[in-house]
Amino acid sequence: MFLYAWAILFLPLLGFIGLSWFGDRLPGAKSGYAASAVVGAAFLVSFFAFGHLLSLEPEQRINNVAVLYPWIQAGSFHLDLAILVDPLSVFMLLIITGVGFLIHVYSIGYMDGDPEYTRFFSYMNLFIFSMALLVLAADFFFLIVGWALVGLASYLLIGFWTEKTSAVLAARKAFVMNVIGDVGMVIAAFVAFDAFGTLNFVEIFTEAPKLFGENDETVLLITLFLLVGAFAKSAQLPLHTWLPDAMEGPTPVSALIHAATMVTAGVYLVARCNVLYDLAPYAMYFIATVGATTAIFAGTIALVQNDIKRVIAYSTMSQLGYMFLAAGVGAYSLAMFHLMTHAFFKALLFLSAGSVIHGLHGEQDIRNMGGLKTAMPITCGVFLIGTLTLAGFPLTSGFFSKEAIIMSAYHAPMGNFLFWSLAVLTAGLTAFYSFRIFFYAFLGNSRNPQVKAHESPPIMLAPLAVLAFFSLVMGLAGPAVMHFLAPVFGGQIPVHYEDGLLESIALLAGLAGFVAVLGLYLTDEERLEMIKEALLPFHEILYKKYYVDELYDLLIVIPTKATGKFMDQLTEKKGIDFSVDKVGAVVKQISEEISAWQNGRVRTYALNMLAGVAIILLFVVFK
Amino acid sequence: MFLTFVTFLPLLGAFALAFIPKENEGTIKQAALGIALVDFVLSLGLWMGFDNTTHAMQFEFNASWIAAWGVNYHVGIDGISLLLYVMTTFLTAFSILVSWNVKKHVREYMMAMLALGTGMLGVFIALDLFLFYVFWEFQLVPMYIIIGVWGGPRRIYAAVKFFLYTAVGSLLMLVAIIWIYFIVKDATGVFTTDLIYITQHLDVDLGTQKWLWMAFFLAFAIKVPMFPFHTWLPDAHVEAPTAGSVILAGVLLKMGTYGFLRFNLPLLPHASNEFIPFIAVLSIIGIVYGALVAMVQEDLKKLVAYSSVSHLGFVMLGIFALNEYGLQGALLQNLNHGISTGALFFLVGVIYDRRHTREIKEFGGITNYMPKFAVCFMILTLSSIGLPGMNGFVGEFLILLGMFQVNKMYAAGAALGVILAACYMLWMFQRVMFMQSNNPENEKLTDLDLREKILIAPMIVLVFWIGLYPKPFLKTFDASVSHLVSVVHPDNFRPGKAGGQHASVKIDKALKKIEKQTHKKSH
Repeated sequence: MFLYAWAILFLPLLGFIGLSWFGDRLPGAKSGYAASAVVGAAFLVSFFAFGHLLSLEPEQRINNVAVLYPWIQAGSFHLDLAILVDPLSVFMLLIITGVGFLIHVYSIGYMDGDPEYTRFFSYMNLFIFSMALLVLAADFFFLIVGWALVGLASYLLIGFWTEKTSAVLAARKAFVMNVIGDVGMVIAAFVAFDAFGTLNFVEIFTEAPKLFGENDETVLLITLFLLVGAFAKSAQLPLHTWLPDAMEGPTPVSALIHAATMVTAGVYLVARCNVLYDLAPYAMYFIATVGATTAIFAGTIALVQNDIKRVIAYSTMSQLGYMFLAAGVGAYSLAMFHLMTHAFFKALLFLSAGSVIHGLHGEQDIRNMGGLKTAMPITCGVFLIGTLTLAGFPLTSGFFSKEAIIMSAYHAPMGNFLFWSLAVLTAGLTAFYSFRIFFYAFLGNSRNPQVKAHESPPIMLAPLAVLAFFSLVMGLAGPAVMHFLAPVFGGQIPVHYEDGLLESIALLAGLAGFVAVLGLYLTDEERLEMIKEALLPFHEILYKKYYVDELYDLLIVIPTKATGKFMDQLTEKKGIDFSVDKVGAVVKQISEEISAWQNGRVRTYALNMLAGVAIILLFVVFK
Repeated sequence: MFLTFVTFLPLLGAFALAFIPKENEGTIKQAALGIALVDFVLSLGLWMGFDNTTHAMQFEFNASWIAAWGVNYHVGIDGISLLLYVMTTFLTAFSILVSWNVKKHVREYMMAMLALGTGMLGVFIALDLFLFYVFWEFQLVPMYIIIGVWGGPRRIYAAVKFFLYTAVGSLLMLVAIIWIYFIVKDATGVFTTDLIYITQHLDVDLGTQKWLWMAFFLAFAIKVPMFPFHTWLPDAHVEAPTAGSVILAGVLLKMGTYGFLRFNLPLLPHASNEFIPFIAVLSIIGIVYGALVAMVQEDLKKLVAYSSVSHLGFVMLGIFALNEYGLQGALLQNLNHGISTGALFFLVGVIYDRRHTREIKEFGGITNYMPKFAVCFMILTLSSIGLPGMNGFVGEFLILLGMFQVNKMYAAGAALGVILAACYMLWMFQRVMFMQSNNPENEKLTDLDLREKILIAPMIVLVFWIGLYPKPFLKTFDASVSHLVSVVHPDNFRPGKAGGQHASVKIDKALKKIEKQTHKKSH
């Protein structure tokens, strides 16, 4: 029935293969249009599938598996190449291909003039393919395949400028972190296979409630190992260090991969396995805790960073924390709703930041910006919309999704005061840092008069306008989204909790953040210096990102390399090889000594013979 | 007879080459390549005619050889050896084309390559212990010569080390073979070295099994090579010419794992079960140790050589999972390693031919000057890491799945190797291919030429073919693996326990179900 949904996978795959093989023969910007076209077509197919699902009864919308061919057979282990088309996967696909399409179009302008233009678009198509595979997979195996391919695409795109050392290092870091996650997923899949005898989602999710009770050891193992993958991909503590570094890639990549799609894979995974997580309240509690902690952790770091993309990157981490918090308290569709609104406003923010960088010829440090509102009025306008949405300004989409999560953090059965207060604090921080970059970049006077800023071309501004529109209005789609997704989450629609007091506090926190940063902006230089002086120690810790990178270097990277060196020098050369050579030398020495007797002198031979005869005689006589 | 013909065709070819005058280097090379290619095509015929549904030996041929000792010329092929056999003919042709630019003693080089081919093929089809031993020793000689004559500066040291290591191992194997010969004679009154007969009639107590097992183990563990018997490998690889490295990685190491599958497991199943922890621990050490040492290598070839130690650890782990997942994975990974590592050695050779160095720090930014080369290198690097969608992943997944059923900690330990592989391979790749080149020599590099493209293309096709559609390969293993599992399965040796692994899982599940229901009722 849903066999046509395979086109969502094949279109971008075709784009990737076509561009990487024949792309060089396409003139100029053609490859950009071709790549955008396949993603656009994939979006249309996704939209068709969306309509198709809506035309079905809600209970028929789930568990639709489209098998292409049987893929592997080893003993009782068999796997089909199959996709699962249900509201959750289609919802994700609409975001991936929709936002993906806009970013592709934007890139036509942004990447213009890059010598490796075609290669860029072929990688982008590869990414869309991998991500679509990840969300369409009907079993853990192909989920892992998509999971790892997304990691690869991200490796290729972060390290796209191969001659830039920092980019190459960041790419490797991202890949290795992701491989750690992959291994966690593989182990989770093994435990699942051990317990269920299959890797198929539909079978596992039907069997699980029958076989296992709450917090059963097996379920906990599966869910927790899955989280290793989820946290690595979604940059949650402690596997987050790759995401800020990933900003070394071209800005559209940051928008596509590190805001709108790839990093949301972890949230998707938890939502996809909601049946298992419902059976594992301990794991849920863990998710919520990590989510809330990451939200505030990243929020604090974002306060002091000076690179415009890094600030947005940390805000991504922080917002992902919100999503995990929502999933952790059992409000899966709220997590998905925030995932959607975040995809719009974060892509918007990144792309308009890209427009700024483009207009300033590569400048990323907000301390060198300023006064851009006159030179780049449209960019300024959409950036403001993005900022307002991120900060959760009432009636923007970010307001609806975030407010619902904050309320669930307290009122949901699994919620508590701690989760709520972390979420509210983060809301305050969010308002602070998002307006900080807005003030720095767009208001006041230019701090670097040498650079003449210019507004970006229409092909870049058009996607921005579309994203800005969706950022503003998609909050109203909340109830519809939750109804659409309900069949996947066992028919549950999260309650909307009404609590005037808690709501006002959350809004006040946002306002406080805004007022604080406004205050700082209006303060004169001299007092600013004084404040800076007073807060220096805190500033240092935050600026250095709590020294996590340094800690990992000290605890893992350096010891591992040292062990390798040690083994190479000592065990290998002085240990094993030395003893082998020693044995060889001893044998050689012995044979040399023996051969000394065969010196060609007849007298020695005669003597030897005599000795031999004597020994034999003695042996015979005394036997 | 057909099998015998395919096996000895390269050797016949080698003799024929002797009659071509030394000066006609072009003719010699073309003739050698022609023979190897014909042999490869013929071996594909074997695959076509192969019956997947039985574990019995096929294309069998049995003739009396040394009647007085009961030695027969008995050859045949089954699901375990078939693809190794095909890979050997393929890699022989591959290696001859790889060494197209060999300068020194062309005729003798090609003769050695072809003779090596027959020696390796013989190992995979011999069904007689004596015959096996003859082939096993025979292939050493041409390899020794190839390293010793056409190798790098320390070639003599490496060749002697290679020869001595392997010879020591095979001596112990000879002892075990003779011992088995007499045990069978005592038990059945028949003097024979026929492997099939012995497999059916060898029945010894656990104590003796263990001794025999250890003797075979040493011979094969050196060949694999398992930690700590691996130190001949980096030296042999570094000094061997490119084609020698390809054959070494692609086929010679596989003889070790093949030996375990053909001798240790079916002949000594009880001992094999007893030694699972021993092998598993050595393999995991090998996986992690190989990866860690690979990480700090400065020489490209050495790095790939140590990665072999790590990869072969996976294969051994899969074999000693002693279940279908593990064994299928191990057999597939045997092929995968031959393809990926063989191709990596070739690519290192490509760049060595141009720059005459393999030092990683000499390179950098190669992707700017050799983009096609860089893409090929990346695909094979990722295949070696085991990226999903490529061949390595399917093998590693099945192996870990198989080991996971035996012992979760072993599987987890091995999984660490996957992470380390990503670290050292990508680190190497980045230092060679990316960033700015600080050496003007690199700017003169030219991209792959036609011959090199022809060589790398089939490897890349195989990487994706096995990665995306491994069924045709796994199917050839199926019947033989099922049979082998039925012989060595741990449950055969556990008192009072019947049924396969999954039966016990199912029972556990059923028990849990009942438990839960009673639990609910009591509420």
